Amino acid sequence: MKKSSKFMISLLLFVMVIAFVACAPSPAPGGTVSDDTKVSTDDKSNEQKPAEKIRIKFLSLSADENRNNIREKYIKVNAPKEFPNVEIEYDLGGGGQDYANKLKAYNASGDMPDVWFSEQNLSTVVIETGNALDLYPYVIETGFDKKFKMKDLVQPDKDGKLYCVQPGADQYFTPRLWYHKDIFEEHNLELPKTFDELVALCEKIKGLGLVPISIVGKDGWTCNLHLVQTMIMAEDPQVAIDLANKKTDFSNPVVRNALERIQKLVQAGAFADGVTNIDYGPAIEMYTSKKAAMLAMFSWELGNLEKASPDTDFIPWPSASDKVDPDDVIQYWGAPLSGYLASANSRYPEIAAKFAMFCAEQDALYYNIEQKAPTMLDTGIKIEGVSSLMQKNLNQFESAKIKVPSIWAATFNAKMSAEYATENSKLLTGQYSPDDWIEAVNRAWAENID
Amino acid sequence: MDIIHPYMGKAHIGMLINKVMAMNRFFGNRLAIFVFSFPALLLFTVYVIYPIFPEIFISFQKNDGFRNMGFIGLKNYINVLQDKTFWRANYNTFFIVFVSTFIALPISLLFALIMDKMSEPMRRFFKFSSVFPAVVSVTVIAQMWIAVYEPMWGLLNSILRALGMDKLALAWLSDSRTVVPAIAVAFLWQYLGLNALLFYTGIKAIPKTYYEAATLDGAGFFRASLKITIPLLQDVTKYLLVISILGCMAQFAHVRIMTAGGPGDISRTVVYHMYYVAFSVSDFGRGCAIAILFVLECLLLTFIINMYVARERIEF
Repeated sequence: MKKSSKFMISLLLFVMVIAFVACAPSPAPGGTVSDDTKVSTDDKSNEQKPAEKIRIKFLSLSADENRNNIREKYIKVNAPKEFPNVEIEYDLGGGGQDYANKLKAYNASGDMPDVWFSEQNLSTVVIETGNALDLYPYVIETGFDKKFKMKDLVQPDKDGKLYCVQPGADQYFTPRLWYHKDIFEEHNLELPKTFDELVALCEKIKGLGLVPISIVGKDGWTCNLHLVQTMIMAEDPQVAIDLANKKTDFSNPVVRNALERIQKLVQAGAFADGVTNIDYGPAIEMYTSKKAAMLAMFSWELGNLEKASPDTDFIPWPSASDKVDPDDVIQYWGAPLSGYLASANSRYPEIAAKFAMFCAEQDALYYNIEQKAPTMLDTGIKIEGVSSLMQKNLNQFESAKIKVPSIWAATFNAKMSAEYATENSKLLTGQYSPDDWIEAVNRAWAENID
Repeated sequence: MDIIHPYMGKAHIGMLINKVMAMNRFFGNRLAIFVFSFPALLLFTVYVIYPIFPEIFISFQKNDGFRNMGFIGLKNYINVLQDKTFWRANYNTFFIVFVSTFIALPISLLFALIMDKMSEPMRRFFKFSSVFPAVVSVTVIAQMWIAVYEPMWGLLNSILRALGMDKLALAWLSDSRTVVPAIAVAFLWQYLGLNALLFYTGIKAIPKTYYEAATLDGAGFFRASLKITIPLLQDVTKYLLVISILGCMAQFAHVRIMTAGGPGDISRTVVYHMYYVAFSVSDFGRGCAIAILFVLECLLLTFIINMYVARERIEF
């Protein structure tokens, strides 16, 4: 018995050692990351084999219609013409937290896809780990930078690196309060210009048995992406600008007032019952099926809303101060690290970089052609046949005097985003005090700034 | 030829004895035991024992899952123990454990006792109904309960409204007072029937002679259940206690699908909170500290059950 116990213990120890070695982290990718110059030496030897097809992997979001259309109708269709010797493996990453977790798992292993789509808060995680390729030399070499109307989008950071290329569509996206003209006409409802009028309107609509405003409440989505910022800007846009530039924190009294306004909306029954469990699709459906009179959503859904509900119109979010004209103030979505990134560990960095730029261009083409929406990246497409609603949206966007970037998209890291989402979800219950919200968010904010 | 068995002769019996002895020799062989148990031991070592060690190391580090940013001693543990959400998650977890132990298991036992008295066709139907929810995917069950709890058109609120109890028609999964009990009901409902079936198999193993003697002494259904069935089911009860308590402690899937721990962090269980801290906040150091504390909680509970429930095995 002793003999066999000894044998078993030795064997188990051996297995553990093997497991330890097998599961040990792979060497840090840093060694190859900064060697950008290797592009023209090591990899050319790989690329100069015309007979062999190069294989690269592309990871993209697959849970929303726009991203799927861009991939299926543009990237997949045009890539073989642009990259005849490249075989692309399409990795569908889902959406939301699933996508984030998948990307984080790739990042932890160091084995990133060659190219992927990412939002700002996820991009920072990958860049900090050293897994993102500096695209700046390739952008300059190919003249990609010359295609941009807004040159800031292709400027390197303070370290002289550019990790992300984007189509420049985001800069035109802004949160709107969409509404059904038919419902408003039928019930003689007036469009609100102030926050108090909005609350009164919500109570009236609720009395009609309709949901006043449909929002995406799951994980506090609408509050995260814009509602808190919208409510801050409704009183004092400068506070939102200061937050975006990290010059103030969330204990600012204007933030407190903004949170109280959201609480007031919740308590007035402005949102659907069980709002904290309503996801993106059901929120849109609630509006398009006319169960809700209004919808709080970004203008990236304009084309889809027009198709599903032709009676759709919008108003800018009402102000909460005499000093703020709703038409003058606008929040835009763009963030420097939201777009296409390439892996620093790619076997074919030059191909990966070019494919990332190609994806950004296809993305812009989609918005120009299908959505008839402008982009900062000039694709050469002349946008014609713009609908009156899209034109109204663009006119209001262009004429706004104050344009504030999204705090969520441009400023938060992954940890701050997660904590902010948790607190916003609780805020939507109407049973959570703004003071508790401020205390929790400020704690995460202090770490975010570090 | 001497007939010692109606169907077998001496030769046959001799062969049978040889076979049994050979089997005894085989199973008495330690190498054979080792060969049979090795695959399971191997998997257990690689996937259960091994990960605990790096987890302990990481729990003392500032670690974002990608980089070790230094040894920070007990800071992660102190942060976890000072975190209100961790205690709320513990409260939620133990609430589900409590409901499972003191409400769901007695209901399962009651079902098993009723099943024992049913006619054969009814019993067959009951057995099928018992197993069905347990074999259906958790995702399906969770989605079904989301639909049941839906505030506007869900089954529960529709019934309440039809009965004129509009005030009780709540947003079950969005209200901080109802969300945890709502998830607990969904989770426990799924395994209620399976537990009843396990109790039923235990009841079937009890010799009928005990009941015959009890009947002769004038004991009815309730008295026989109380004095014979329940005491003699203690092995099954212990097994179900361990399985259901540890199952409730590790509750994750229902929470993830039904509320994602929300609203906010209100319905998080310990395991969900650990996942959130490690993967959403990217604080693997703190996540591992929660995991180690959770392992200790589970060990403590198992120890208590082993100490106080069914210490001696019953043989009929």
